[in-house]
This record gives sequence, C-alpha cells and structure tokens, in this order.
Amino acid sequence: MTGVSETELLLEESSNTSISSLFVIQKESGLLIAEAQLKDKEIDDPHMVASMASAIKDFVNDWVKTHALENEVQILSYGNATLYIESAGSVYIIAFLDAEPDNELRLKINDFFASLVKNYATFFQSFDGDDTALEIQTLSKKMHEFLDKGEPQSTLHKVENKTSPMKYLMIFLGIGFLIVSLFYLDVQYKEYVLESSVKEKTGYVIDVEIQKESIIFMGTVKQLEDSDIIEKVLARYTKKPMVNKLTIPSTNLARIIQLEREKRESEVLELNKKLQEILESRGK
Amino acid sequence: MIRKKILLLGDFGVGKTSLICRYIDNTFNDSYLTTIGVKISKKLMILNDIECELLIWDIEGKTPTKSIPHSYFKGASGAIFVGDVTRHETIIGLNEHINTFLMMNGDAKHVIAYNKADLLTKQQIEALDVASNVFLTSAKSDMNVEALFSTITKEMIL
Repeated sequence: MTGVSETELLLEESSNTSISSLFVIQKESGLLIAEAQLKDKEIDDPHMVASMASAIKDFVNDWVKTHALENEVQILSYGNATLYIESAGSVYIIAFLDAEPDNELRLKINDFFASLVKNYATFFQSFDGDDTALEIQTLSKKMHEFLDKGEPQSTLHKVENKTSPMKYLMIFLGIGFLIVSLFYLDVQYKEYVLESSVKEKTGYVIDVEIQKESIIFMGTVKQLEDSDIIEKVLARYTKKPMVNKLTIPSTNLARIIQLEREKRESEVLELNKKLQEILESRGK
Repeated sequence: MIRKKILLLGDFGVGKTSLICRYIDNTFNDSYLTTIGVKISKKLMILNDIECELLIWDIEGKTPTKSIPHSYFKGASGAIFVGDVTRHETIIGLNEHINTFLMMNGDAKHVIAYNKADLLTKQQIEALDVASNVFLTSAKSDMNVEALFSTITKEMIL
C-alpha cells in the first residue's frame, strides 16, 4: 500500500507555517509602535487591530489572574488565523500566522523579539504615541527583514537544523529565554499579589513595580493618611526599601490644607482663650 | 502623527456608545462590547496642524453581575466620563469612575459629558451650573459632541 498518511500531511502542514504580519505593541496603552506585513496579506487598519488584540489579551489575562494562574495568554486562534503573543518589559510582539507555530518557530520569533527588546528598551518605555520617531523607522526595517527572510518560516528552519549544530544553540537559547520569562512572570505575579492586597485592605487600586533594589508604588489617594496605610500594608509583605510615588489630587490637597488651617485657627483661638483666662485671674 | 488611547467611561445605559456612534471614522463590531466589555473606535483630529488619532476604548458600563476589568484603564492619556443628565445616580456615580481612573493614570486628562441633554427644557439647561470641563451633550441632536472630543484632544496634545 502506498500514499501519504494523515499524520504526515498534518506534520507537513505545521512545518509550512508562515508569518504574515508582526506587530510590536506598547503593553499598557495597546498602541502599535511598529509593524511589518507581507504585501499580499496586509491587515486593514493595523492600529485598531493592535488595540483590539490588546484588549482581548487583557481580558484573557484578567481571567487567568482571577483564577490564580501565573501565565499570560500566548496563543489566540480563530479558524486558520493564529496570533502568537510574547511579552517582555513594556511591550509585546504579536505574530500573525496561518497556523499554530511549532516550537522551532516560536523560538525563532522569541529570539528576534529578544533582540528588539534589548536594542530598543529605552525607546519602548518612553514611547508616547508619536510615530515620527526615528527609532520606528529602523525598528520597522528590522521587522521587515525578519519577515522577508522567506516563507515558510519553519521549513527554512528545518533545513538549517539538518545541516548545522544550530539546533542545539536554539534549544539553549530557548531554555535561556524560558528562564527569563519565568523570572519575569514571577515578578509580575508578586506585583499582582501586592496590588491585590492593597486593594483588599484599603480599597485603592495602585500600581506596584518591583525593582532590583526597591519597590515603587504609585497611584492616587484621597488623603495623606491613606498613603501611610498603603505603605504599612506593603511593608507586611516585603522588606525591600519602598519608594512612595502616591499622589493626592489637587482638589483634595486644597481640602486638606483648608482643614489644617481651620485646625490651627481653632488651636490659636483656644490658646488665646486660655491666655485671657490667665490674665483675668491675675488681674483679680 | 500622534496616537492616544482614551477611555469612554460611565454607568450602564448613559449613552456612551451612542455618543461616539456618529462621530468616529472606524469601529469594530458591537459584539465585542458584549463579549469582552470593550469596543475600540478611531477618530482622526487635526488641531493646530497637529494630526492626532484617538483610539477610543468604549468600556461597557458596570452592572451588578459584571465588573470592568481595570487593565483596560492602563496607559490611557485621557478619558471622557459620561453620565445621563436625567438619571441623578449616574451623575453621582461619575466620581467613582473618575477616582478609579485617576488612581491608575495620575497625569491623564479628562472631561465630563452630561449626556441626553436634549431631554432637558431650556430653563433646566440654563439653571445648571457646570464646571468648565463639563459638557451638556446629546447624541441625538449632536449637541457639544465635537466640542467634547476636541477639548480632550487639546488637553492631551497641546
């Protein structure tokens, strides 16, 4: 009996997976920083798609967090379209594919993404939505070069693997990336625990950033006392030095100053009253 | 071009979606709003020769059974808070939305829309004493919708 088995066909299909578009998106705002797309497979309105993908990712991640899982969504699939998502620092990358990527292709995307994060970390952090920045041009160029290396991506990769020891290097890189990812997820989970504890105990929604030497927390509180309470709540969970960046809205500050002024005025009145009494008793 | 993320926030049924319905250039299907609680729309504004594209996150109003995912609030440069001028509780409820938003985006700008103002009489409108960042709006009559969006854009980019 001759022919091609279903398994062989499936394997062949998966090895022909190709990337049609690459988006680099700012994590917090969902704004598209840079994109590269194959000419015949362009996505209409990439900025809207980036925002929507970001919202869907946030939605799924919120669900994951409420169910106490420590992972982030990595694959979104609909029909033949697959979105592969990888996060790092203040950005994430989305690769639009025509099938779910195999491990080799994931490694290839992750490796490329890691190089972008390494070279553009400062720019990514300061990105304010202005698309005329020079960095965007060089970034887009690199992304286009990555896409233009040719399709199907996995097939190319397999040929390389057969003829060189690159496979082992890629596995090594993959493990390295995995360790970095696990460390990053761990930090993110700890931040989430601190933020949840503050919300549970004070009702305030704040942002906590765990850094190497310290913990930065920011947000807005109604009064100074609340800021101290939040600091105490956080101190129960960590021994790291804390940087308090909580702010009080100017309207509340005005009210606090007014209250303080009234308090001092009443103290002065009270003192005057006592002084008067003393003077009167001496006069007698 | 400058792109900014802005949020549209307010209680359920205050007319947030209707408010932007006629105003935007492009939008996703309404089904997203009911599925994940947010719908993205886009509007290009040109102010003082500066092109600014607003990515408007229309966030579904909170209901007793459904809360708003706060991760949607992150990274917004501005917000429009919408209340229904004929339902007092939705105007009072704006404070909670504003506080939550400002806690996460301390530097962000915001404006307030008292929507469905077409249902008020002329006398009622005149009697209302509102702050400078509050607009009486109506999706039905298009009242102040342009002013609302251009004000928040100016606040963010100028």
